[in-house]
Amino acid sequence: MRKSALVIGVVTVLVAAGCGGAGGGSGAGGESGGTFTYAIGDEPDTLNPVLQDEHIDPVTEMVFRGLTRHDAANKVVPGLAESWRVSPDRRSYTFVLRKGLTWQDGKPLTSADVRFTIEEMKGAGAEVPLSRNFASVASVETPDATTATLKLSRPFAPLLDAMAVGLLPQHVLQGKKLTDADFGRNPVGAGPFRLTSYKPGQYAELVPFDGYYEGKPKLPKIVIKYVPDDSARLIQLRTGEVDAAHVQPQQVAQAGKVKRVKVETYPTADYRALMLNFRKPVFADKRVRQAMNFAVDRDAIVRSVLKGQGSPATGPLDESPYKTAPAPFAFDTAKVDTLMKSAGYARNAQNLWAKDGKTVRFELSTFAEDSARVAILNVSATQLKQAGFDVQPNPRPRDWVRKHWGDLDAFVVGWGTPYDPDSSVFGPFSSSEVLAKGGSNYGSYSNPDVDKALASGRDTDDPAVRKAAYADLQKALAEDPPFVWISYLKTDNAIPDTLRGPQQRTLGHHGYGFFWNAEKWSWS
Amino acid sequence: MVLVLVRVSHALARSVLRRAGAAVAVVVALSALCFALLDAAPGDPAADILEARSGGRPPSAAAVAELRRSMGLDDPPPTRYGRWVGGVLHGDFGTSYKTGRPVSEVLADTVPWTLLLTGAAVLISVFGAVAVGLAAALTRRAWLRRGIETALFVVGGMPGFVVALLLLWIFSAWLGWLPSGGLSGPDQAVTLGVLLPHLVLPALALAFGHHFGAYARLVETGVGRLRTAPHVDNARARGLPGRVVVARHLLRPGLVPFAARLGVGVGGLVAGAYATELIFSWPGIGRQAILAAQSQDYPVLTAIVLLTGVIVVVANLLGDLAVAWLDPRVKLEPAHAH
Repeated sequence: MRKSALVIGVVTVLVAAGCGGAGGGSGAGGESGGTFTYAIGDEPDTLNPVLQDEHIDPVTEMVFRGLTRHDAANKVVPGLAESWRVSPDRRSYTFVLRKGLTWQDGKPLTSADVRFTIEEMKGAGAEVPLSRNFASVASVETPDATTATLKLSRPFAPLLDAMAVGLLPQHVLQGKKLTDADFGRNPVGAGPFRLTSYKPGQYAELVPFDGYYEGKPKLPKIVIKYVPDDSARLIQLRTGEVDAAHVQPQQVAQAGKVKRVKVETYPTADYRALMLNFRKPVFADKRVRQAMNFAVDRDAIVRSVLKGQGSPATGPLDESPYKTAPAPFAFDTAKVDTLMKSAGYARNAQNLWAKDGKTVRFELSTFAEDSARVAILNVSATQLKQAGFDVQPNPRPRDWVRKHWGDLDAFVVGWGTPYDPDSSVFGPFSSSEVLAKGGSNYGSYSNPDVDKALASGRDTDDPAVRKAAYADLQKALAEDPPFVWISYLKTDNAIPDTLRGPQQRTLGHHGYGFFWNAEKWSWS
Repeated sequence: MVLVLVRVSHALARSVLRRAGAAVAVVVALSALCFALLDAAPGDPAADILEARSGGRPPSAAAVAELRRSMGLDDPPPTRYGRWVGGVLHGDFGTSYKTGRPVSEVLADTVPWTLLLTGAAVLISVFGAVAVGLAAALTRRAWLRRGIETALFVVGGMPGFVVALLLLWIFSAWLGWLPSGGLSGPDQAVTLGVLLPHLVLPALALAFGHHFGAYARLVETGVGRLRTAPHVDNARARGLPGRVVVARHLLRPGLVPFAARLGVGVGGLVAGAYATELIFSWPGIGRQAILAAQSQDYPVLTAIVLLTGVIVVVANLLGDLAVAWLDPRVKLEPAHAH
């Protein structure tokens, strides 16, 4: 009898607790003037900005600020530095800090922190991949507390862009490694919001930083909740447990139906393409590669795989201010026929292009763990096959790929940056970066015209010269394609319709960066 | 009477000690096996770390090699195992490759939540299974028995994560009765009043998604087959009240198969907690384990595997003790060993 009483007791407590919880669980949602709660799937390993790369998570984005930053058009504008001068030989950059800057712990922010951040990153080497941006910095001079002068060993046009990296406080990190775990969880920056509580696996809580140089932000509190399951995120949005959430392309329609919520769709510079390995003779003829670029129906891939949350890609700079018009490639089977015939190919019995008895046969691979890339792989392989190319789709485990980049025939890659173009075109397309030399040109693409354009884009900051250089680059890449371009991705966030301030901007890798102007957000 | 009790507890203590010794051996073997498996598994923690730090771009081979060296990953596995055992003996489980946090800190943050979740699920499983199983075994209404059996069959056949998502949709998204995840609402302190409602759905999902059906069936058959046993008829004939017959003559012996299964089942429950925690954003070890496995965070993963092993071993031991208590015929050690 005692047992059955206990059963009833337990059930009663659970039910009572359940009923009590309904009110508590949905109380926070949509309250104007209150906390803004946002659910996201990925939790970063660290909140240290120098250990993230153009793929800055919301918390790090709001806690830190760099000398420069990017505006809505991704142009470099002053951040912690109010101005800068560049010497005529472009080997000396002098930054002047704003007056009266402080860190979020109240300590003054000075030019010594600038020197510390750059020297530490440079010194960390391979452990900090972002250090590549500072390889050209020979020394940092600090004539006074608000002036920092960077001396470069060679001109490096993307430097102003690179200085958008969050500045680190010397007084906190002195004597510690940049990878210090404690700093990664209790970061101190000079950005608009200050981290007050971080529970790994649960949430991060931020409040406005009184000393932020543009004035105290208006949202009284921001909670970033880590909800790894896609469905659970949508449910929390519906129940009002969170005000806003990052949603997947296939969830956009459902999220739009939630009361008092609207979906914000931002473009990103993150594209997917089929990288071709130039060590394989099958890709030697550029007409074959051009033909493949005319053989994929990008609109169909955007519709089917990306549920409309993407845009066709025909080059690496389509989402950049340096984009040239018109798009060099479109879905055009007549062009495929002309190009393949001019390259000496004819349809064989299986309706595949063949020359001297050999088809355009290659394996198309990608990371088997990445379901979105596998979907792109399958659809593009089918399309290419219909157009007469002998494609063998075969996703492979990430670890195998890492050890066999040089053996792959073709691979669904992701590249792109919304910021200075150099950082995402020099690596994959420069002949000085080929795989054999330890670089990230995994397809071993080599083209003198491309090299020339890349060099002139990197060595100057004259806007007209750079514009011409990147126009030349896009022309050369269209003429002699290293990739079969597929699609740019879009990123979707569901936000309450009472939130004012989120402003569209082309975001970076993985669609992070939604909080780029959170200091201006407010409740209506 | 006292003498008997002392003798019994003495035998019990000896047997528990012997089993604890065996458990230690199991855990040591498990740690070596875990180390060997992780070593053989594909993956490169150094490459993974660098990839995360460069926005998902593939790192250069030179950078990976340099980081591997500084992480000590190039040492032969026996050297690394020795280093790890040395650390563990000093209470140092190492630091996470990914976040640089001490593993002991990661465990301290997450283990209590997993214990709370699995503990609640075990309670729900046990009381729920006994209640439902008894109802099915004792009812004279065939439709009720068949109804329960069908329901158990359906629930028992559903994968745990489906049960979890169903509960989530019904009670959270549709009815709005219960919060859908986490330990507390945004901006709420984690107090008992806040925690309980957040615990309900994950605990129910874990309980009903894993073995509940089997448990209830074990209770039903265990008790059902005794309903017409001679000792029960005898007890009824002696005029004992119905509840005494049920509690003493039916329930206690009838629960033996169930108790035996329960100890083993806890292992499955811990495994089930992995998926449940992910769906309900519950900050336990399961979620950590999945993240650690995805990113080859060996120190975290090894510690979690070991800990899970310890939990399973202890649960089995407790299960055996429960069986011995329920059924006096079961000796914890053979009377004539050797």
